[in-house]
Amino acid sequence: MPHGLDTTSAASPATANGYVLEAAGIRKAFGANVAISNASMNLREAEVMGLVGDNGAGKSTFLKILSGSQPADEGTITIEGKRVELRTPADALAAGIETVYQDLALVDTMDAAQNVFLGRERSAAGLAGLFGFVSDRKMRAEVGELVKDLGVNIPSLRATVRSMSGGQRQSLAIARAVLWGRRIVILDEPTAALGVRETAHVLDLIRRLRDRGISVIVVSHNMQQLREVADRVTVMRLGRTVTTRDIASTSVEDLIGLITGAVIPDETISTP
Amino acid sequence: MHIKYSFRRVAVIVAAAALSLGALSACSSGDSGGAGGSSDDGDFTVGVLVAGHDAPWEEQQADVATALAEKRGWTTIVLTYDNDPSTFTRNVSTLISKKVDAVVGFMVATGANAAAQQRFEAAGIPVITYDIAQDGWYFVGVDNAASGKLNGEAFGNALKEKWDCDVDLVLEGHQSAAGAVDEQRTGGEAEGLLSVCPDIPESAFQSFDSDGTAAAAQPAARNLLTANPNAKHIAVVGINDINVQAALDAQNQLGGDAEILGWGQDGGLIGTDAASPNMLGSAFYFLEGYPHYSFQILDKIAAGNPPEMADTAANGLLIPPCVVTAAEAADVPSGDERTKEIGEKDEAGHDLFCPTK
Amino acid sequence: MTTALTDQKTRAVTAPRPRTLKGDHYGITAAALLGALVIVIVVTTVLHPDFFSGRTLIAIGFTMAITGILSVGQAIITISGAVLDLSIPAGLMLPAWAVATMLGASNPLPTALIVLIGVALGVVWGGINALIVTTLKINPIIVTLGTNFIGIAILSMQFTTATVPGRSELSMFGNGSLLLPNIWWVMLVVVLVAAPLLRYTRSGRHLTATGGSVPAARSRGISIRGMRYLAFCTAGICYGIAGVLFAGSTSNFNPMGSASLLLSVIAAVILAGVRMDGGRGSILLLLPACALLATVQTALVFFGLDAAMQSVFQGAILIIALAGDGYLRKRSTR
Ligand SMILES: Nc1ncnc2c1ncn2[C@@H]1O[C@H](COP(=O)(O)OP(=O)(O)OP(=O)(O)O)[C@@H](O)[C@H]1O
Ligand SMILES: [Mg+2]
Repeated sequence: MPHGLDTTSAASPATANGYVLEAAGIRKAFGANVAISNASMNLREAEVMGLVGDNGAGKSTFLKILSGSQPADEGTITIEGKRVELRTPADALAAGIETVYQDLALVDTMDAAQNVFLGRERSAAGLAGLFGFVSDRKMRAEVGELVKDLGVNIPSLRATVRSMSGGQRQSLAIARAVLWGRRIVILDEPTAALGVRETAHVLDLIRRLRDRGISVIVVSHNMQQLREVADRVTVMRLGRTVTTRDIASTSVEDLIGLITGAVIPDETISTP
Repeated sequence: MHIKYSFRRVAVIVAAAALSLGALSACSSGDSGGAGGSSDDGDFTVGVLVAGHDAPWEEQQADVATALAEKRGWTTIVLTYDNDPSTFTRNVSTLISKKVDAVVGFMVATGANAAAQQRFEAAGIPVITYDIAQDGWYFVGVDNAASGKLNGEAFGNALKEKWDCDVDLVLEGHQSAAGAVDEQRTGGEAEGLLSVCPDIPESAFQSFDSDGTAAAAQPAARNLLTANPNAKHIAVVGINDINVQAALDAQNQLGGDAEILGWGQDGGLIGTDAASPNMLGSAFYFLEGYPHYSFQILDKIAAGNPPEMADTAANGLLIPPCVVTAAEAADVPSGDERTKEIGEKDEAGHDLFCPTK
Repeated sequence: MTTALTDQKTRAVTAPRPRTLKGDHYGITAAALLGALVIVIVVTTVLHPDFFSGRTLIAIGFTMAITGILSVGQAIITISGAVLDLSIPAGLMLPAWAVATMLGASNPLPTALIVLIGVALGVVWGGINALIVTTLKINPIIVTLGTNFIGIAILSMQFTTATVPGRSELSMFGNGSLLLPNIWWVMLVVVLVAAPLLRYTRSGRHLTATGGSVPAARSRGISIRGMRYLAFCTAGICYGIAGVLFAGSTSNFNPMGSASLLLSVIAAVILAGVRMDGGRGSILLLLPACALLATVQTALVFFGLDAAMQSVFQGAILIIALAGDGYLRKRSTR
């Protein structure tokens, strides 16, 4: 398949301890406002990790640190056993981390294909390509196939993103992550704006990513959904990651208790 | 905008810019002001106001004034206000506080002149203004009416000889913002031309307007020439050489077989490489030499018998224009040389350099 | 491209078909500009037959050439999200003055080298703006307002009137014509080169994306700082070329001499439908926009209207253009 959905290019074997990503002791403050005081996460290869927590618990901030769009004040991030510094989105993209932000990060004034390939445009053939010219035809064809393959319903590949519905934009942003995600795909509330059919679709996409050997972190306020798609779930509360549980052995009531603080976890994953 | 620009940062920059500008103007008024000090020591001190750096003669006027003052054992305080009324007003305060005995200068901040006049008068300081009249200030300036008339007549005589007065388009290059000066010079030149070639029909006279820059005058003249495609003999008059040259350039750009000739005023370009060969002549005002005239008034003031107030362009001290052809202009020394010589000899530029006097 | 005007009802019927190109009305803008141009030409020609001539074409060509090149630079700045470059007068005057000075030297350098130095100075000017914008993170409008002020002030200390030797090669070229003015052809080349570079190259696309949304561009690994430099320096190339041609076609000028160009340039960019918020705009449409502005200017003279009236007309055209743009935008974002 031309658009990179083949599994051969997917994640390479993880390191000895089996973690694709290890984040430890992450701290981030905005002035006096400490958004995250201590967050950690160990992500296995080909697993779907749910990230839950109340509004303002620090989920988005944590993800932004993992995607390089905001540097952490403290803490370490390791990818496949190698320490990395994620100072810019370019660093994270280079490390194989693709992110679908809560605010989507699409360029309104550009069309679907231009957005999907933004920063990674396909070169035009021959001399023109050497001079930096891109091939819209190629990119449109690939995105057309991708969209069809993923069953995403967007109006036209030539329409600017501004003209799309919230759900369509969401689908497009996810399609982009699916196309480019090599190791880790991060999704911040991917189904928040979606209808029933589209939601099912996104959950299906997440499973397909996992089947390709890609690890997924997904933030959601919908516990039922997480039970359907996630393998494990990390709970954040007041800027800390308080516990990580296997979803199969955790009830929805327990999760809600952990989120609100009604249930105190007996272990804590935040390493000293 | 997606970037949030911090307002505090903007405020800091603006403040820094304001401070540095303040420092700059303090320097520029300080460097030459140092010569002065308080002048109530019996010494005669002249305040010299320079409008800006728009033309070389503005500073040359100050150089001549300084040289002439030195000759007389007087002191000068030279201040520049960069065409800015508020700086001008500050300069006025400075001169009053330094108790100068008289002030001369080019007062282009016209809106601030009336107030300055009252303050100088209250301080008992007589003022001589160049070219721009103000009630209560001695007027020294070029005779613009004579300039218009004499240049027009000279141009007319040239056209009579070349085309036998067969002119089918006269372009008038105005600068209407200059008001009466524009009427006297541009309108006067057209009238002078008409007085020699009375058969040119009124409909042949057409005007364009500019702000005094070639960038504005050239397209205006070009459009006007385009709108008159059938003219075969085109004459160009104008308030200054720049406006006339702009029309000559425009015709050169448009091409075609029409002939065009122009005659400028003010001597800004005539005799230099930049003047078109089709510019037949112009007039020098020797503006750098104005202090020679103003110092004749100052001599009387210093001697204790100030002349009667003559504060209009009609009764003031009028400087004759020096009307020249391009060939004659080429022999006139450069502005720098003239500045030096007038400063040394204290004679009128017209007497020293005008080849047609 | 005209779908934005499609009747709402018809669209409802064909609802399953994708709604396309909302907010993109290049086609309409082009049609409106060309339509207005044709109307101006026809009306003026009917009332003043002399208007329809090669001479008029040359006059219009001269008027639009330098504005056209400058507006390419301005449009690049606007599309990149830096809104407006108010330092265009200084950005043009610096190379123009340098070129005039070099041409007037007693032993002038080869013309080609002088031209290259002039263009390079334009780039330097853009680089200075970019440096200040990126390091101090101040709004580019404020930065360029300041640099223009400082630039013109410094130039004023260097010269009062610059004169260009009329027999220099550059002046011969700058005042000459081949059907249309030579400098008009240069403008055409600048437009025809810049348009595909902005639209179809990787860098052009990243620049446009930065104008569309800084966070979105950054999240795809695009260096915003790099894009600011790219925008200002590319615009600087345009200012450099314009400055060289200005010197080549204006026999004398003073440091303030290019101030009046700024308004025409901004007018052309607005008229061409470049989105002021950035992220969208067509370089090609600058051609009909500049042509319309220049043609109206010349046509008004045929009607015997003076400079003040010309400003009134130019203002009116702008207001109509903005109103039309606002109307289309409202329709298409519904
Ligand atoms: N750019 C910022 N500047 C200042 N404070 C911020 C910023 N971003 C986030 N915060 C603060 O950090 C805290 C965590 O915010 P965050 O967006 O990470 O929460 P969240 O868990 O994603 O919430 P939600 O479920 O509502 O999306 C909040 O108190 C928020 O106000
Ligand atoms: Mg969030």
